[in-house]
Amino acid sequence: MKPFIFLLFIMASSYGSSTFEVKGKVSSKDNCNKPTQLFVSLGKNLLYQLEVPVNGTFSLQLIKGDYTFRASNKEACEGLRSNFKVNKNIKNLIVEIKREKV
Amino acid sequence: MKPLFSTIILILSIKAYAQDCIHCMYYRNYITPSPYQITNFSPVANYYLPWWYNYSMPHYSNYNYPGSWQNYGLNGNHYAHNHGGGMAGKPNLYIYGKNGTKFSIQLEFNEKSNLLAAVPAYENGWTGTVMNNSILSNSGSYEYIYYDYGVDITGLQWKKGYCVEEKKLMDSLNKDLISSGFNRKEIDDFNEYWSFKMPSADNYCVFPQTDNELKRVAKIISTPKATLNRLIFFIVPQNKEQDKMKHIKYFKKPEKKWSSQANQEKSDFVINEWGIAFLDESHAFNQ
Repeated sequence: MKPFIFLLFIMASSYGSSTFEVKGKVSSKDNCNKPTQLFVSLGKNLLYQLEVPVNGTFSLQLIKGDYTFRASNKEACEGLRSNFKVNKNIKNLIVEIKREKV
Repeated sequence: MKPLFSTIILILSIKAYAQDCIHCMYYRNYITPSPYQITNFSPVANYYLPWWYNYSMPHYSNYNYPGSWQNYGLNGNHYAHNHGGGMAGKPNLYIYGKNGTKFSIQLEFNEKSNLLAAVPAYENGWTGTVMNNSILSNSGSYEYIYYDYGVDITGLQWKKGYCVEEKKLMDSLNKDLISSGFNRKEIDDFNEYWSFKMPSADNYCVFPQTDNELKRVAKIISTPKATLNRLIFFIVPQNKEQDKMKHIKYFKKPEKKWSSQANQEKSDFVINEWGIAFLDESHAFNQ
């Protein structure tokens, strides 16, 4: 019986910790000012699309995984954080956007 | 003959370049007026493409869906939620008051509802100052507050609503928003996102939810106390091949027609909220 209870405890603990809070900000050192579209995906699966102003903040509840954060605005400013591992709470994810040279 | 041939080649090259050029869409969209701006909302076509429509399209398999999608609902297995059977995507909160009004807003979820995403970041609530109908907060200026949440569908109403075919859906939703008192800017934002992100279906059954229902699952508490105009359309796409699923109560058609009503209550601090919710396909049937 004891091993069974222990197993249940382990399962319950891992379930409880399978959700993580990710807090972040879209920033720019490149004089990008217009609001960005922030795309949050697991592989090719787009989960969220958020409009975030430059220097604006966002928060997400995510399950464990490797996420891609992609941002873009109307001024041709873009930013990418790929293979971003989420396996704990994260307080300061920065997605920096830069002006793309056309 | 040669100049004509060269011109055709040149036109085809420019066209091919324009198709591949990520940022050409900005210029294309600047010169392409949206249909609802011409028609003053009626009829509203659902083919309007927002500026971001093809920015990242090649990167995703579900770009014109509201999120990770299965056949007729969101795939809850990809989201951190409490299995309440539904998910509300992109409720926007617009906040109005006298310039300089300081406010705080908290969301109070019931047991099976939970926050999924927020802009600005949710720090046990949102705080800010109203300035020219925008929100000034520590992290900058926002036109509206955005959030997504997992929603407990047992707290919602499933009797009143209507069913429409695909080409009439956006027009119907727009009419409801107008008669519920939403303004032009709010409806433009709604159309920009949902004209593009609405999943394709033969028909849609729409179950509108106002604060009477929403306060049971996701209550908004504000200081100062606000006049709340909340309208979330819970939409159940209907496809012929899914007819066999209609024994599930959420697939029944609405029994009564829903009619919108603008909130007549007046105060100096007003919160308008629109949004759309879908079933969570992976958990709706466990309800």
